[in-house]
Amino acid sequence: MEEKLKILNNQLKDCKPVLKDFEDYYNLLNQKFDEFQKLVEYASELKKDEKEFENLYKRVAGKNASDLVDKLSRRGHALKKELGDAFENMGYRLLEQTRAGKRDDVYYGILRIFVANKKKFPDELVEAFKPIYTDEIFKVFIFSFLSGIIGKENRIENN
Amino acid sequence: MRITLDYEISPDIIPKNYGRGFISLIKKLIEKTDPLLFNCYYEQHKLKPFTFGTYFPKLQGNEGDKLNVGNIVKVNFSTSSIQLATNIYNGFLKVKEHTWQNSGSSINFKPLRAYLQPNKYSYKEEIIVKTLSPLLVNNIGDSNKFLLPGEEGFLEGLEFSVRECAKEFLGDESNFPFKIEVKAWKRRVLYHYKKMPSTIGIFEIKSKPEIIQMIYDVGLGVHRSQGFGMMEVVG
Repeated sequence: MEEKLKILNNQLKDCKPVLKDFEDYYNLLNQKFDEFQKLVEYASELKKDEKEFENLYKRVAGKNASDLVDKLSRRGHALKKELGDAFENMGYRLLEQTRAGKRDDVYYGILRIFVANKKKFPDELVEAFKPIYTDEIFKVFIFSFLSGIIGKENRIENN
Repeated sequence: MRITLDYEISPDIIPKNYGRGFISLIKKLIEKTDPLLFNCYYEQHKLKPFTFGTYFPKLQGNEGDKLNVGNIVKVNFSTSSIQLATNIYNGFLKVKEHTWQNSGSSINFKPLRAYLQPNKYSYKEEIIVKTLSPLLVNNIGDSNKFLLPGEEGFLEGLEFSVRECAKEFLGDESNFPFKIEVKAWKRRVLYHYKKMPSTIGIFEIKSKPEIIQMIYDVGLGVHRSQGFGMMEVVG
C-alpha cells in the first residue's frame, strides 16, 4: 500500500493524476478497512471485559456505516433479477417489520428467501444485522437493500 | 433460529460414535465461512451459542457393533446467533463434500437441501420441553462425571450450566428465577469419546422468557455444541 501511495504522490508531482489509480487505491483502502473492522470485532468479542475494545469497534463500524449503505443498495440491485420477485412478494411485510425494528423477524424473512432459492446469504447483509448498529442505522441498511432489490426499476419492468 | 440441513451420507453402516463425524462437519462449515469465528470458538474454547441434533429417517438399527442408519441424515441446527446461522447456511452451500475419518471408520457427507424451521419465540415463563438430542449434565467441579436425574447434584449442575450460558450469551449475571422439573426420563448410554450416561425425557422449565428462549436456541446442559441438549417445546 505504501508503494501505491508513492505512485499517486508521484502522479501529483508530475501534475498527471490518473483517476483509475486513485479509484483502485480507494477500493483497496475500503477493503483493508473492512478487514480491520472484522479483526476489531473479534478482538472485542475476545476481550469482552475491556470496554476500550468495544469503543474502538463502535468507532470503526460507525465510520464504515455509510459505505455499507451503498454496498447494500448495490447488492440489492445486483440480486434484483434473480430474487426481485420473491422480495416483491414479501416486500410489504419486510418493510413493516424493519420499520418496527424487529431484527430477528426481518432476518428470518430475508434468509428464508435466500434458502428457498439456494442462494448464498450476502456478507453485507450479515453485517447489517450486527447488534453494534443502532435500530435507526439498521433501518437505513435494510431500506437501502430493499430499495435496491424491489425498487422502481423493477416495478417498471413488471408493468 | 433453526435450520435443517439434509445430507446424503455413505456408508449406510456407521460407528456408534458417529456424533464426532457431525461435530467435524459443523466445524468445517464454520471454518470455511468464518475462520476468525472458528478460531474464537475452537482455539479459545469459548461457550458456543448453538446445539444440534441428528435424525436418520431410514434408520434400520444395530448391525453388530455399528448402526445401519440408511443414506440420509437430517441435521437440525439451532442457534441464538444470526451470524452463526448464516455461516452454517453459507457453509452448507460452499462445502460440497466432507469426509470424517476415525480409526478405520469414515462417514462421507454430501449436501442435499436446507430449509428454515418456523421461528419460535418464548413469551412464557413456563414451558414443557422434550429432548431432541440427549442431555448431558456435569457434576460441578468434575467435568468427567455425568449425572442422571435423581442423582445428587443433577439439578444443581443443570442450573449452573444455564446460568453460565446466560452470563455468556445474554450478559445476565443476576439471580434470575430458574426451576426445572423432570417429568419423565430414560437413561441412554452414548458412545462419544467414551461411553457416557445421558438422559432423554420431558422437562418443565420455569424462568424468565429470555432464559427460556435461550435454552430453546442454544440447548440445555453441557456439550451442547457437540450435539447434546437440543429441546423441542411440547407444552
